[in-house]
Amino acid sequence: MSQPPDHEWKKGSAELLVLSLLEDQARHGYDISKLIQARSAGALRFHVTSLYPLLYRLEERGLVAGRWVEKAEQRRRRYYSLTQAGRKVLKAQRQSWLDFVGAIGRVTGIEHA
Amino acid sequence: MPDWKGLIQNRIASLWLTPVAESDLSEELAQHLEDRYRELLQGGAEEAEAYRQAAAELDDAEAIRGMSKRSQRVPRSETVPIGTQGSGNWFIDLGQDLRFAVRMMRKNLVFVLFIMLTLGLGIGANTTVFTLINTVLLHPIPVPHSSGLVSVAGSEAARMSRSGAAQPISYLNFKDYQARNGVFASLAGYTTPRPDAQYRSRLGAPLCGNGHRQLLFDSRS
Repeated sequence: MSQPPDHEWKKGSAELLVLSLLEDQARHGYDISKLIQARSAGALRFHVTSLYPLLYRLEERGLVAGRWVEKAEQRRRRYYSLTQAGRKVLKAQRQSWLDFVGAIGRVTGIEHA
Repeated sequence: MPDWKGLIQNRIASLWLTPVAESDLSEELAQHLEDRYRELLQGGAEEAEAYRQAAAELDDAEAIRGMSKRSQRVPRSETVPIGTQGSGNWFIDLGQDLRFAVRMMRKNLVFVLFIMLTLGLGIGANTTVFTLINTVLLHPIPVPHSSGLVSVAGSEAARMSRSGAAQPISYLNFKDYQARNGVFASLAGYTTPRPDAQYRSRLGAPLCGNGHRQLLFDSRS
């Protein structure tokens, strides 16, 4: 089993991870946290104190929009959705990430599986 | 159910968020911790252990400082709803009170002018009365038996001012009164310094009485 990613690597890719998960639908913070953990098979995990500051920074920059949603017989939750600006940034970050991974692969000789 | 909101509010108190932002933030984080707590319980953890693990997510004090958006902090010109409790920060509350006072004064200029006039007259009257009391009672003229001191002024009709104010007495008249004095213990005259020195002879020093009435002349003429 591989080791958990380095803290700095996780920090550098956090924005891309969150924006990607909001691309298709609005999600609340815990949902985002669980999805990251599940899709990374437990390799990536965001605590409250790392996830929410990130969400608030993205919201402050206009990349995501948060709003409270009340559903029948449920507590209200704050859902985050991607804005138009967020979609553009996500697209750019995806391309940038691919370029970066490709460059690392070419330098280190790591073959992309 | 653990009191997540109380725990969170203790951690974020130093962020100086607006009341609404603080409430929203604590509610959102409390839901997250509650979800995490239930997940741990469903995974077979004991309640105490589930609580410990969920609460440990708040341990990063440095990250908590990044919890607030700039717009969620208490702004300089926040509108405070009636009945809202103070922020607990004396300076923030003072600033809000001062801004509120200025806004109210701008709305009621006539009232403000009336208050300023009332205050001005009140302060002026108080100052006048205090000056009088200070001079007469607290700092009387430094002569013995000052209560027996009287002031005499000229009363010739031709020399009376329009306002009826007492007129000065000439130095020669003063000398005559002094020579013929049979009423007062002693006589003295005084004058105020004037730029032309020719009136120098009119300056007289106060004389102290010896238990009798004294006469104080104004010999400025």
